[in-house]
Amino acid sequence: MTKILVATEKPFAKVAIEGIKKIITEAGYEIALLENYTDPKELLQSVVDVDALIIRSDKATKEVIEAGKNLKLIVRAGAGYDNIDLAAATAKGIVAMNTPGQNSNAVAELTFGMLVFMARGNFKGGSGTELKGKRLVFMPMEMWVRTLLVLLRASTWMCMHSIHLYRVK
Amino acid sequence: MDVYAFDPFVPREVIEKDGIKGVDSVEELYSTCHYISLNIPATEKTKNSINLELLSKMPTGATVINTARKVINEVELKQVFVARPDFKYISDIMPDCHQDLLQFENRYYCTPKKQGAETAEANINAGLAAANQIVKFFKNGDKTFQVNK
Repeated sequence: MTKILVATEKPFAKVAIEGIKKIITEAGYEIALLENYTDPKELLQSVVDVDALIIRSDKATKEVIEAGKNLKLIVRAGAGYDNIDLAAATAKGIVAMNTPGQNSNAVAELTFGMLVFMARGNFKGGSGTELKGKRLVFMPMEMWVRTLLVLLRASTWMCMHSIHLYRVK
Repeated sequence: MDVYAFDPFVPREVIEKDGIKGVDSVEELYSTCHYISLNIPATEKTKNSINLELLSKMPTGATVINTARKVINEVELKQVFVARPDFKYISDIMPDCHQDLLQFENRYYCTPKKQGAETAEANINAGLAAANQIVKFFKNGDKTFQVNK
């Protein structure tokens, strides 16, 4: 049976794990969890017999990739994937993926908060400046188009309508 | 607030459909905008690419918001702080020169830990998306989000 390992030093939320289990088991696959591990050797041992691996910020090193004898797919649950040794994965014919767009709104909202925090002098009581009339840029460059557009829409809407934040659902 | 964007892979007209103003180059962005939000993936081309030259182009009152790993040139970031008393920087990625930058207390702030995707919603969304992508890969050979092509 196809076996999926979810390996997270910092685990997913409980509701996320329940959802992942449901999706994997309903597809007829087996799921294994390695959560809160502190020694990378635990990941080396757990990856030996799995077909796919889900990670968060965990490091899918060359050693991990080579230890995964049946490994065909690594999915980084998140946007940045510099924690996967892509060259090692490619050399073994393993597909590496991220999940673009899933955290864009979270980043967009944080960006907006940081924008106001700095404009208002770190909330220390001094006189800050307003955002009105200023020019803001997002610099995505090679970012996934989908992520870019989600981020732009979310942040732009909030910036443009910053005096009507009660309208944010 | 006017919002600008530049992406070499997204045509200007597509960007402008979203009510955002497009520009034609990275240099134009930096010389135009007071606030810059960095959302760039770390690649061989982008690592350390946000440097003294680019940041020096920004208008008075420049503020950089950085939620992208490894793209800011940290050595030159410190030089910008020294050269420009108006320059501000806020990030959720602690630079190696964090202790040095603390002297610019009202112009520098960094969250204690990476914060960008740390919401319950993002956590759930990413986890479920990962599981769904795995099922589609094994059932249909779907490689839509492959990053090592």
